[in-house]
Amino acid sequence: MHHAAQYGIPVEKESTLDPIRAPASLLWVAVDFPLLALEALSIDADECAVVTESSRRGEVVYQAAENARSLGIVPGLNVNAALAICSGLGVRPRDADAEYRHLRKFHRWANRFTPTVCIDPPTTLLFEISASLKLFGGIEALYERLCHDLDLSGCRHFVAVTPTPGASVILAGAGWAGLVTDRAGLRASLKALPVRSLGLAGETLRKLRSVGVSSLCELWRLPRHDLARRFGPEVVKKIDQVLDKHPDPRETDPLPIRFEHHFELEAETIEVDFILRAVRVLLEQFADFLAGRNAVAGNILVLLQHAEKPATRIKLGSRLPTRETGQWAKLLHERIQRHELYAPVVGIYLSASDFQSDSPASGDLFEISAAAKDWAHTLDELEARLGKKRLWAPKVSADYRPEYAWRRVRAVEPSIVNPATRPLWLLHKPRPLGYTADRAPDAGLLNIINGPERIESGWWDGNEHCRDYYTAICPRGRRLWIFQDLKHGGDWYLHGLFG
Amino acid sequence: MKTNLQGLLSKHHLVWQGNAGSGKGSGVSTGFPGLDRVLPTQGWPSGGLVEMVVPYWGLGELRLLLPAMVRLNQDKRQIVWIAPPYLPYAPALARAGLDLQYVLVVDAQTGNVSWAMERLLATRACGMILAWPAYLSDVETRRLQLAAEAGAGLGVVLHTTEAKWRASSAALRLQIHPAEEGVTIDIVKARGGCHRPRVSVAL
Repeated sequence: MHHAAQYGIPVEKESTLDPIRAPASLLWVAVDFPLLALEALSIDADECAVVTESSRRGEVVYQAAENARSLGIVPGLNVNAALAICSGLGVRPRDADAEYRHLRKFHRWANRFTPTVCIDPPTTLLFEISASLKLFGGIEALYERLCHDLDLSGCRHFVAVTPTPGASVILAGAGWAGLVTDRAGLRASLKALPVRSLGLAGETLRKLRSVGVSSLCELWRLPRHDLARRFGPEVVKKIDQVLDKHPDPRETDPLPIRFEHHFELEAETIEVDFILRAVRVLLEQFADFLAGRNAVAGNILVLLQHAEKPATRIKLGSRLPTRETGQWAKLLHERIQRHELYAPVVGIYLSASDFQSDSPASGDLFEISAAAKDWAHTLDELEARLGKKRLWAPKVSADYRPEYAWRRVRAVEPSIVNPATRPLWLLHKPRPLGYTADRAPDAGLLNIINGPERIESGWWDGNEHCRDYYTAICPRGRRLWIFQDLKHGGDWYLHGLFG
Repeated sequence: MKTNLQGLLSKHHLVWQGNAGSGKGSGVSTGFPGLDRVLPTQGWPSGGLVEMVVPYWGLGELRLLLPAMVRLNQDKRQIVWIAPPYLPYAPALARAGLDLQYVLVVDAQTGNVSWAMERLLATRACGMILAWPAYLSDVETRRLQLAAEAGAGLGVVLHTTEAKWRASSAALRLQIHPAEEGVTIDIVKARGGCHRPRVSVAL
């Protein structure tokens, strides 16, 4: 057995070189899907099938299902050889897109726990959960919840939770499942793993092996400056990132701006209670999704799917954006009662794309009294059952013609309408800003300092509005009143100047 | 001791007492002293249901209710109009002293009037809930009276004459007649009152 010391590299004591510092604060979850290629193509583990990829040696086995494996068909085997072993073998080419889509599904699931989620190709999902611990009842409870959800998915998985993204990915990829929250534990679980799991270049690996470094602990025991000199600074950086001694920033994939979940009913039903129960499952997922990003929602869309007829669309709105499952369920109940289901329901689909931050700065939800909340909920329920246009409040207009001396406005709880910011100058006509639904104002050019304030009205005079107003500051220091027109395609306009 | 017993009885609705007024006892002044005097609750029974039978709309039924509306509205309590036969006219309401922030109109469909009223009676935010149902069954009236007792608001149901002789569980039932200067009111039924006087109110 080789040892680093034989080659003149001094071995230092771990404790002096690397004192264990304060407990790490971040917690990264890596979920590795070892059978992703098969699962993405919906191949069952008990099927005798393989997924293949092209290599220099022709078409070779990339991943083999359990049954094929037991026959000796292993990754790397030539397809012809595999077919010789089992003539009835199902052979499917690898579909990288399907794999990515499969991971995206889990990406959405992970978003229920945290907004910080990314995909670590090819088979791992990575997300950071330290901010969500309190919400989900501590790390043990959350870990159990993650495993439970993943078990339900039916996909083979390994869940590793550690303070660094690198370590989590390495451990999950190596088929280790478990929870490590401190640095000492991190080292203990990593030490026996082979150096190649760091993902170093082939040349570096060969060199390391030649000096007798084969496991990770043999690597991190080496003094850093020698390591850097001999094998390049990249090696030092990588091992330090894994050990939480060097930052390892990960780019979070853009948040899905929609929540979309589907619930398939076991049997078609017309029973409102069954449907509501299924909706509650979706609503709880939605509540988690919102809690994970500290958001609340003002509108949701529920689609009741029927076997051979168009789905029933139910739009629900809440005056107080909320993530309370109960309130949404109540509103839906009113609506279903009114609607009279016209066909049995086979599935339910819940989606939402209109979220607001639940931070105290924007909304002061906790400032609203219980009475005001009660009134807002009452109005929502009335609207859900009677229809949106059935509720209105009379207002006086400055016009001498009797029929124009009044108008209808949307009924709201007065205390919810905060004395809103209004500019001193109003433009004669809103001016397009050139930003669209796909291209929001750049943070560098327009700094939004306030908003959104949803202004929605006008159905009675044929001038329907649904706009989100913001206060923004442009680089020249002007304070602008801008809005996004949600009714007509999501373009952005300038509507006023604060003068 | 006696007061304790009284309090207990009225608090828990153990015994219905003919002379004790409605459950809540208190009333909201109608704004017309002559009317207040003859009503057992010295005003509209708050936490109760009032049924008003009017031969035709526009007789003075709103003017009769307006002083109480304004009063309740001043406490920032909602005045709700369910299925009104005409448009409540904002300039006139404002002129009468109502804060329109606390006025809500609910154009409920025929089948939903009673449901909407019951739902609104259950909230603390409402001061007065007026409803113009096309028809109200005995069961519905009873439910509304119970909802009004449980809540804090005053419920007013306005009918045209057809329903006149039906038995009612409302706390107060009035028949309004046109009069020279205002209206004449027959108190058909008043919970807690033994005689059924006729009063004239100048509007």
